[in-house]
Amino acid sequence: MKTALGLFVSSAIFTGTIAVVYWFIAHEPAGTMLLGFMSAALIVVALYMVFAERDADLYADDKDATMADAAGEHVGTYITHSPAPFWIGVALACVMLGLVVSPAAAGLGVVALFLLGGLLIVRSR
Amino acid sequence: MHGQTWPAIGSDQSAALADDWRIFTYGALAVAVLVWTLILVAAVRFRQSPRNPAPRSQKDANPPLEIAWTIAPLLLVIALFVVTYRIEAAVEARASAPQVRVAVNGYRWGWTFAYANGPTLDGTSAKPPEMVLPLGQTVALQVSSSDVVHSFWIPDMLFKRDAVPGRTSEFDLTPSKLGTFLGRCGEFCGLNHALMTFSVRVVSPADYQRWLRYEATQ
Amino acid sequence: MTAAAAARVTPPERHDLLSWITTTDNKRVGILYMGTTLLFMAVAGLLAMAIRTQLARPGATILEPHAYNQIFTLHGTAMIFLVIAPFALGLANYLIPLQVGAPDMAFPRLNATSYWMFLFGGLIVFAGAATNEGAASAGWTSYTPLSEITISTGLGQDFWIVGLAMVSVASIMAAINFVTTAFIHRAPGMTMWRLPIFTWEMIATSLLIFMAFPSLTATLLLLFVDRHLGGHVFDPAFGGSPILYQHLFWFFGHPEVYVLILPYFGVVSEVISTFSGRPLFGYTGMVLAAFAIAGLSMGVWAHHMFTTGAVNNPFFAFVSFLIAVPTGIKFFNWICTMWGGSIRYTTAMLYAVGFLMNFLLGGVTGVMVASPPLDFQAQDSYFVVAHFHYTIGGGSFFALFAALYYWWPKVYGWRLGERLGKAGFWLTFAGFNVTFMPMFFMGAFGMPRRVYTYAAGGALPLLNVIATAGAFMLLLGGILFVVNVVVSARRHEPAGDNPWHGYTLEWATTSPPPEHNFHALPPIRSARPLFDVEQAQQAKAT
Repeated sequence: MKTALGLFVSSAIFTGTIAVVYWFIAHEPAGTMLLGFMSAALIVVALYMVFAERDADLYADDKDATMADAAGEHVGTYITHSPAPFWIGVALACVMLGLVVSPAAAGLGVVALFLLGGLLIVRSR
Repeated sequence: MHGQTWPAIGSDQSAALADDWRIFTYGALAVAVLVWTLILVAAVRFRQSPRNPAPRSQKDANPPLEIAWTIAPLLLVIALFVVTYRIEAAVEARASAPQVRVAVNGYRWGWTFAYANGPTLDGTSAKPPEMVLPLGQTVALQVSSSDVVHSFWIPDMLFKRDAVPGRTSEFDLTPSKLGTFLGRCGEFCGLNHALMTFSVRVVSPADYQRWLRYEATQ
Repeated sequence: MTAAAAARVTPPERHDLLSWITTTDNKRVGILYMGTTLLFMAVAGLLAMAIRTQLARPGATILEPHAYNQIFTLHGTAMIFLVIAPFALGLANYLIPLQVGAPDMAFPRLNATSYWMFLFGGLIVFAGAATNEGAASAGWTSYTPLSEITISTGLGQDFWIVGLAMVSVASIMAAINFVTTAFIHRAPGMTMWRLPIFTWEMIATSLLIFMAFPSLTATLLLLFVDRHLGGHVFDPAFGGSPILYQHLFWFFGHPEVYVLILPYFGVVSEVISTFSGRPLFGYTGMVLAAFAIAGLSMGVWAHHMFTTGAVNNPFFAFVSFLIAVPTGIKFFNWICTMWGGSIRYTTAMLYAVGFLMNFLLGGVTGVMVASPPLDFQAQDSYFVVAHFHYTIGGGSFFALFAALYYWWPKVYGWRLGERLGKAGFWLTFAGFNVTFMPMFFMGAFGMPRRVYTYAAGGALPLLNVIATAGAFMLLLGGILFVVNVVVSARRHEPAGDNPWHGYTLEWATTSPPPEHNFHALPPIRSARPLFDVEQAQQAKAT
């Protein structure tokens, strides 16, 4: 996790530094805000990784780990099929088109999303 | 009218711009030829063949070399920046007392040239307007637009400046060659962007005064 | 788990249409992505053929201006958002779990959702063509005030906005998956510094997507607010600013072009390394360079605004020049990977070397236009068109074909023919250069971009007709590829697990891989696990 954390921290420092330098050289608010918020967002991710993933100890990060070390470990259940992605795509497309063409279509899309959500909740019980 | 070919380099500023073109083009070509040569040598010399059936080594690092090819381009790039900075400063230098002032307004799809103490000319693609300027005198141009973003571009002077509605952009132009040069819109502005041309006719200062007097009678 | 045990536990793989629509398997989602982008590529390519046909002669009337404007807008939008970027996302979908030794992506449902959002978003963009006033026609950059409701009055512009908003969110979803999978789901022993270079480039690309795409989504939203919800954010008549639009758009737009190239840097690194028979030279430098490029690319956006007079040109020129340094590092590393190797010239390797030759010119001309004084002439001219086609076309597009030829046997279990492949390569390489080399001169001589015609006189007519001839060569190259696919599918030459003698984990499984990617994994002790296996076997044999 150290490499991954280092990635976010160094990116945050880098964009933050550029934001400050840019402000003093160009005094341009839009770019400075974009860079500044960028840096803040990266810091949020880095903080999460520090506090929530601090104790994460992956076999992957062990240089000498073997497959046998991780054998029998229940990683999770990988589903192979789900109707949700396709229907989310259709529903969101309806919502987007609805924004442009007709509120009715947008409403239809939102209803489809709620139906899908309900269906998934029922099936998972 | 001069246009659509090797630029005429028709202003003092464009002489500096042409220097920038020369330095960067030769520099780019030099780097490209060097690296193309390295690529082709590697590609041809190390082809798999009976003489070269297998890779000679699995060596995959050479820290001194890697540091060298980081530092050298960095120095080159810093040098290029200094060159660029100086040329841009020279090109964008403003005269304190320009002899001519013209306010340029771009619109869909034509141009208006309003001379301070002079005529206001207007034209679209049917009859593009012609900006007459005196040789060797500094012209202060103010560029803006009344609808979308356009760009005031004189290819023979290697220069364009965007015409943005809601703001006025200023720069100097000192024509250094006699002749008539093609001008274009350089920012996509809709249906007739391709036809939004104008021309710049550079004449002797005496002819310019004659032209001003003529225009005053129109 | 052994293959036999896996076969007992796993239900048989389904092949019906419904199974493809509901799939969340990373390999299938990858195939869906890549297949869809190839279809969009065919459409966008035909749009380009229409452009080049119209421009072959001055004053031609094959396309009238409004049609022309829609065509180049859709060509640019599709090539950038619906072809080059999503092909890389699809390839990453397919490869990242295989390369890190994982059975699937971290969030399989999110992954599939990103594909369907991309597909429907892209279709919505094109559906604008069926509206009253046609598709969006303000260019892929959609500058304001041109794209405001008072000037772009048609619905097509709105279809463009909402369609791209979906594609933008889809890309962020995909990037989330790539980063999480690469961080959390690596196999035992696969430390971060043993990751294949393609996976590293995708991590850098994903970071860029996180940093850049939110600005796109926000800008699209703001443009929609201006158009339909009474906003005047970009409207100068009410104190809004067109320059603000350019800042917001390019803050996304410049990192986007590095999203378009970094994955393909990874492809080229993998291909060159395998076919030279040598490890990637300077692996650590390559990874650091990728992140240097990604980081620096966040600070250069206003080099697209040099001619506005509204930004600090020297700042952006300096940072833009700096990007040449890590890019140069990559070039030297690729050359050193080939150096001392024994290079097998398969079609994939030819495309990789073609990439090196083309992208070099794209890169050095990029340094040229990064100089504001030079850019005063080049901006919005065919010089810039040539520059970005050499980087995205000569670069990403060539690497895309290298990826197709390289990983096709892994995906389908049979190879693409080499004879037709190589013929296609030479035709494409020649055609590409004949098309785009003249454009440097067209631009320097004053031809603006996004023009439906030009006047006779000067050098432009000759340069344009040459470029059009090159475009027809490219078309033929594309047709040859399609023919190759059909012919090779019929021939069905089995590829085996590792037809190219590659050393990364995707070559350690069957072709195509089983549903959960691996039956068994070799021990991972370096960036080239199969090389270590080979060395161990040779040591045992002696």
